[in-house]
Amino acid sequence: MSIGSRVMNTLGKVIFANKFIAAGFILLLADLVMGIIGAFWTPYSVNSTFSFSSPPSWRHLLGTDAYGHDVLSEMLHDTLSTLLVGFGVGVLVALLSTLIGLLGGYYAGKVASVIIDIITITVLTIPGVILLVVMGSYFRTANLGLSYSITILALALVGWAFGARQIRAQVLSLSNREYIIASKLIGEKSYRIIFTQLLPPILPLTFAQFLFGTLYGVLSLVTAEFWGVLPATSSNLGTMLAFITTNAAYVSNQWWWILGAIIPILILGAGIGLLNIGIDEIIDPRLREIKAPKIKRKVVITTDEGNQVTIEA
Amino acid sequence: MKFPTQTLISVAKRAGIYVAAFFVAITVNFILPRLMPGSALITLLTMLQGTLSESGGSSALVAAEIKQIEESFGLVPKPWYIEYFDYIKGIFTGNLGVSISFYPTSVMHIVLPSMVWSIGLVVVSSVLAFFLGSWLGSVAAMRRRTATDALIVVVASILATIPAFVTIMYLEMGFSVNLHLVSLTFPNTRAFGTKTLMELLNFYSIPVVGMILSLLSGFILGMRNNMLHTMRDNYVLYAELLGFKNSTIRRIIYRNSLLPNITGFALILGLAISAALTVEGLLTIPGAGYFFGLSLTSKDLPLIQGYFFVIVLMLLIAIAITEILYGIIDPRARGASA
Repeated sequence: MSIGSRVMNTLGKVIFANKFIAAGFILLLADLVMGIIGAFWTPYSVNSTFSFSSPPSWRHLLGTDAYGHDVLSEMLHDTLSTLLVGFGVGVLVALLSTLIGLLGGYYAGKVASVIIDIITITVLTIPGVILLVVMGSYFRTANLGLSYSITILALALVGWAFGARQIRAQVLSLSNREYIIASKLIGEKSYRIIFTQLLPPILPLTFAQFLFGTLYGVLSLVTAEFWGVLPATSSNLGTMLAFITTNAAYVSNQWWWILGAIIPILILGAGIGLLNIGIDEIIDPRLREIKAPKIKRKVVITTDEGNQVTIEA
Repeated sequence: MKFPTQTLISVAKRAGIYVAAFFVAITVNFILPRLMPGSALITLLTMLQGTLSESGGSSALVAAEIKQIEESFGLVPKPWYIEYFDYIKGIFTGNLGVSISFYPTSVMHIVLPSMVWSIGLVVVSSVLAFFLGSWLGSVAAMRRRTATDALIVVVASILATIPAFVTIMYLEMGFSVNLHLVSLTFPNTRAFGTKTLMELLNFYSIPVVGMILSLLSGFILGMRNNMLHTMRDNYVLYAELLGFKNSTIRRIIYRNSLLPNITGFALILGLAISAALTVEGLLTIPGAGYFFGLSLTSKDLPLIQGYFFVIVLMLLIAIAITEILYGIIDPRARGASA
């Protein structure tokens, strides 16, 4: 069996051994598939116009917006870019928080860990949305456009701090285990201890950071777009929401327009929630229910009078 | 309460780290505009010259202002350490430059009063979210892996991914536009009295509820996690073996898990302030969000930078206070400060 198929096998087992992970995984996948379909095909062209602000009907399942565009087509068209920003931030946040958490935990008490601590606190205090809006305003004043890659990078650079703290705490408790102390005593190199002995047990936490990072990335992008951060030519669910707010669609009861902008986010949030429940016992094996065999034992007790009584315990 | 010297030392150490973080933060604020495309500032200066001559200020004053902004954004070729020194001096004298769109008002005079509304919104909604989220998290943990648990966690995750201003749009649509229960516009606060207070409470009900809903998730997940850990602790087992009532045991677990959940504020506050600004922008509340929006449309870079700086500083102070207080209240956190 090749390594690739073995990895797939293990992954498959983990996913389907746990119904919460399976359900969450399927939701995330469905969301992504929806985005990919939308990138190539939409029921109507996103530029074609119909009657303005009409509620959902068979012709327009999610109605039309104040400009006469089909909301469902817009939603499908804008999903992929939003999700990719989310997943991009998620991957980077997972990598950064794991690396910094590992280093901070392993070198605890040393100068390096104090420096990491100071940087972590600083990063914790910089809100991603505000940073993005400030950067966007500089780019716009210079008549330049903020790109998706800079957006992902900026959000990830200020998004890893809380996760790094969680991972650091875990690494600190692992560092006192016998096998780590033994490795240090026989003179094992630091990077080998960090990456072959400390990293594997915290990988589920890294995955949790990916989930958090994705959620944070999508939320921050969509919130920052309220202020119009990216150039007007880019289209994602945030720009859709920005049009909704400028038209005050909530005052004119256009619930379908708002719904169209958030359906992919709803699916993503539900998927992440289910995955979160599913991975908690992988993160902490202590939570794994020890399934005690439920066999009723028959105990025979001899009473003082010499009678034998059978009770079930 | 008596503080042992060890507590004082660990608090002093933490405080030292926060002071260092303060200097890193103001350095980031110094570097950020210098990393951005430079032509932004040149565009800004030409714009400024236009605004200033329109406002009818004396030409000497205008020239002085332009020079000051050039200096504060590093357009005048000077060694960086002199620039940096001037910048630090400006910070400690509360001088963040002048706003362009509100010339000649200083940035500080716009930022600080407007932040009061936003801080109020953030504090009220995040404290309420802390208690509600902790309670819901404890319910989820006690019913772990049941439909109730899944419902609580999934709904909270969905609400956390949707920005607060979208949740508020739906709430306003229902309660304000259709049912006419709540006012949609910010009340006039010029003449402050009981009536204004009632109007404010009425108006703020929806923004606060919307903010709480979007901030819940962090506290729910944190509490759920803490409870699951505490349930396995020896003293809980001991309480079970002593034959305490289930409700008593639950209270023991709840109380011991509630305090560590305070650390969740470090995660929530940054998201909360961003959410508060958008909500204020949406409902035109005269808080930071409203002026922040104005400064964006008018490309008032000194004002935007001022907001960034003040928000980062306030978060730093808030997180420092919660963490140091937590260290004093919870004896378990003293030795192993994270």
